[in-house]
Amino acid sequence: MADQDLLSIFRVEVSEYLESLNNALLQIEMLAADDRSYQPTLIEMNRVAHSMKGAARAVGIKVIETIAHYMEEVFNAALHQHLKLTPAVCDSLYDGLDLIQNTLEENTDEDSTTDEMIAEVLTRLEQLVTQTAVQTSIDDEDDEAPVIEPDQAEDEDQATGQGDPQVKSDDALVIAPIEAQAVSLRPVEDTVRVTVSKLDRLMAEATELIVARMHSEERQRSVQQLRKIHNKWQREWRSVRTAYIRLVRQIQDSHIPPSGELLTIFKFLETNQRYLSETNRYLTQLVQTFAQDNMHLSTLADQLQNDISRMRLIPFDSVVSGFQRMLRDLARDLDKQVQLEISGGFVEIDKTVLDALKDPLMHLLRNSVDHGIESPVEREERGKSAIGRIQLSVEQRGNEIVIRVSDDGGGIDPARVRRAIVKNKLLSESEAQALNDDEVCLYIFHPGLSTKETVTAVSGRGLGMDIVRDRVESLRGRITLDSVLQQQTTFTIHVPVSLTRIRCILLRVGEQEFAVPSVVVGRMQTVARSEIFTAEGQEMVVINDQPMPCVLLSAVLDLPAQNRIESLAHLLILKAANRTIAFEVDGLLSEQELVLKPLGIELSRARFVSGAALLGNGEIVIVLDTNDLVRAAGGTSLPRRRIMPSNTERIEQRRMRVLIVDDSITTRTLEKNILETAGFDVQVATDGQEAWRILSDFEFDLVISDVEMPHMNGLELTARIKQTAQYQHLPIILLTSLSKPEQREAGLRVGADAYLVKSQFDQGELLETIRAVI
Amino acid sequence: MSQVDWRVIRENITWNEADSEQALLKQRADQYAAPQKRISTDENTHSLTVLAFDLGTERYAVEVSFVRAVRSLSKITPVPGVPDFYRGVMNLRGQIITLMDLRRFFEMTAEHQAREVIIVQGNRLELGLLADHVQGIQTLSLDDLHSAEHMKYLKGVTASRLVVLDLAALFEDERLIIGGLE
Repeated sequence: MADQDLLSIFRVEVSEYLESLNNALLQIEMLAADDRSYQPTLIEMNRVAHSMKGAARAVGIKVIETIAHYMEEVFNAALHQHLKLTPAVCDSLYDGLDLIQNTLEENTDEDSTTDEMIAEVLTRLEQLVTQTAVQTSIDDEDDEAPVIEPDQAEDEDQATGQGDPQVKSDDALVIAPIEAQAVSLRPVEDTVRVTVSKLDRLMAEATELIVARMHSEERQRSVQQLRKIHNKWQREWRSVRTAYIRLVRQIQDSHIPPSGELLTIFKFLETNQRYLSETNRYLTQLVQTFAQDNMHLSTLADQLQNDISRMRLIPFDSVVSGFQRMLRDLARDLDKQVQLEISGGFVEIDKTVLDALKDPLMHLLRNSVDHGIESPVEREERGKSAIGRIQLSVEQRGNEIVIRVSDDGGGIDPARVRRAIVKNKLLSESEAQALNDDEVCLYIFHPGLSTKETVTAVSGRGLGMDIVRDRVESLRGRITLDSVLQQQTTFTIHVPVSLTRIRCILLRVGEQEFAVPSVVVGRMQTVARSEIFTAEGQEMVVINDQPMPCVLLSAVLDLPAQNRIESLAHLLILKAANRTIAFEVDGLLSEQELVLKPLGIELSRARFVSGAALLGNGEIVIVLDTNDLVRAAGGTSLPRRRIMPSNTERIEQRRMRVLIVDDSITTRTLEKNILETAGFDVQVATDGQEAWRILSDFEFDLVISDVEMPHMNGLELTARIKQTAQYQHLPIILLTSLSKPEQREAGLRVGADAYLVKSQFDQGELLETIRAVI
Repeated sequence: MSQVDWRVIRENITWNEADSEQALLKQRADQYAAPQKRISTDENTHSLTVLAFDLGTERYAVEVSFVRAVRSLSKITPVPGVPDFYRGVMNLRGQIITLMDLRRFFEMTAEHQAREVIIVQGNRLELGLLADHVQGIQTLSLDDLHSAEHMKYLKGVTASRLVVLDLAALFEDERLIIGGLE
């Protein structure tokens, strides 16, 4: 058994290979069957498969080695046109890749590889290879393309570390020119892996440095103050100096020798004067060098902090690579045709932000395929192309990242959402009717609507839209929705590039300064007070032809009333969700980049407060939560479900925790994949006994268990759970391949909350069932 | 009866003097050395080491094991929308500390002029308790401490009318965390 360090390195390495191969395979699949432009990609894939084989052999993981070997053979055959990469062949290859992925995720115990699905995948791959082998031997004559000798290539790999195994072989010279154009599937630049926690620590230290710089600047001011006092002292001395000199002259003129005491004092005054001018010179010098040093320190600290924040930036591409594959699988399951277009993958975003965005984006994309895009038949009836288009675009606008997920599907039907609102008793019939369509559509972000199981079918959008909103807002961003019935749906997410440095508008209410992230500020405007008018008791203002409510910020924040004697009103126009509201403040100050500081947990969920930052003078300014402000001012009934505290280290969302119990690794992994994609935290156990043990260590919201398992079966586990007071209310779903009704009854008798049969098993049903029991 | 180790007690509290470089270095060294905090409730000595402070006309004390530092009060930045016993936040060497006014928390009326802050830690919270004047460390015999059972957050009161707060109980109060824990 290889040691753990090696294994973890191996995992990272193979994950990269898998990503490359998945992407390349998708790329090839999109091309027409007779398109030969994928040759360079194939060569690269062949090489990647080969490297993976070598790596797997090194750590002794037989399954991966075997799969990689078969893949290499298949790519090789495709390269020599003995084999066409048809969708069926690609499916087998995807399965192979998934299998490697699963093997990586699970422990690499030899006994976990005995599973029947592994055998099946291997057989299919093997068949592909043997088929082509037969073919190869038939048309071996005219085979002029290179055949890579694994062993030879292996030596090559080891010798140069990153050498290309194909270049050395004589035949490879034939394809070398093509390869030069090949899309590189591996990073070229030398890189070092650094854990995010190390970067975070570095960032925290750099922030401390800025605080130290501020202290130093304070000291500089003290020294300047000291010099001022000193100058004053010198001036006063100068003003009495003439008197002193006159006194000395008088004594000299009188020819009476001065007393010893007087002489001592004169002497002291002389030295005093010398010291005074000397210290003044030093002080002047000190003030100058101090200022220079501080400037230098300040530049360095800024640069350091900038560089560190940039280190945390990673291209958007790094999260989207899995999306293509996910959508392809989902679309196939649903018999839909979907094309995902990604633009702006090169845009760089803070890793923390990007990680936090991954799940919401996955939600949005899944929803687009699941609920947005219609079936091909339906699409054609509506005069659309059978292939649904989903666009994921990313762009950077200043310090803001704008991500758009749009589909040309059926859109959101306000009438159906309205019905769902009433059905879920969020509003009365008349209240719902009073809302306009845009306001109604906003309700898809309402937890009471989107988490209810009925809604997925009714509103057309379901799956945790409130969670998406929460996540985006917790990143100090906002999400807006634009939907045209029967035509399209677009979600737009605005988030700041970085979580620790953020551009803010500083404003004043009464004597206190506050900050709001620039991202959410629509505009700032000072208008004549006479432009504010009243409609139905609500103050309104028209900005850019758009009427909007005008609200005193002090009133929302419950601060002492602002005095409104001025004839001008300073307005800050904030946008959140789809609402725009003008807030009147006492002064609009400036825009600044602020370094955010975490608040203690006692304040982290305080309403209206999203964080705090230190100004250059060391004073604290409160960063306001504009989503809360807009919500409070606009009377929207979207409740606040703030989960994330303002501390960037604490970006943890409370997710539903599920324990999956199954003795088959593949089932476990399949379920785990489905549930994780749907936003659950998943833990697995291989049998009832292990599950029971895990239950005592962690808290779960749901258990999904197989029935037939060694040691303790699913029925025993269910009975045990339901008989224990502590777990009595823990929902259990039994999932099994048994379809006998008596088994089902037995399951429900011991207290299972639901029972799903594996043969009818599909992810939609699983998720529906979960929603029904939780 | 064992001697009270004054050295350990003093080192556990960083005073204002910590501003001087040496004290700062000492503080750093102590941080890295992960000092043992459990010094106040020694069962054998049957005594309690507390930090006493004035609040208006009353004298309070907290166990030193909860105390991280004592600082003079700098500018308070009020935080909107929080209970009034949270007077605001303060910048403590780059860290933002929430300031708690015990008088307001206990719903006592008379206002007072806070000049110092006692930084206390416990139960995942770190708060700055406002104090008019911090008197210093005292060792109390548990026998001198008269229980005040009807008072939720009091460990007891001494004959000299020093009110010893039960910070462990206070930290458990759910009102302290706005919006509650997840």
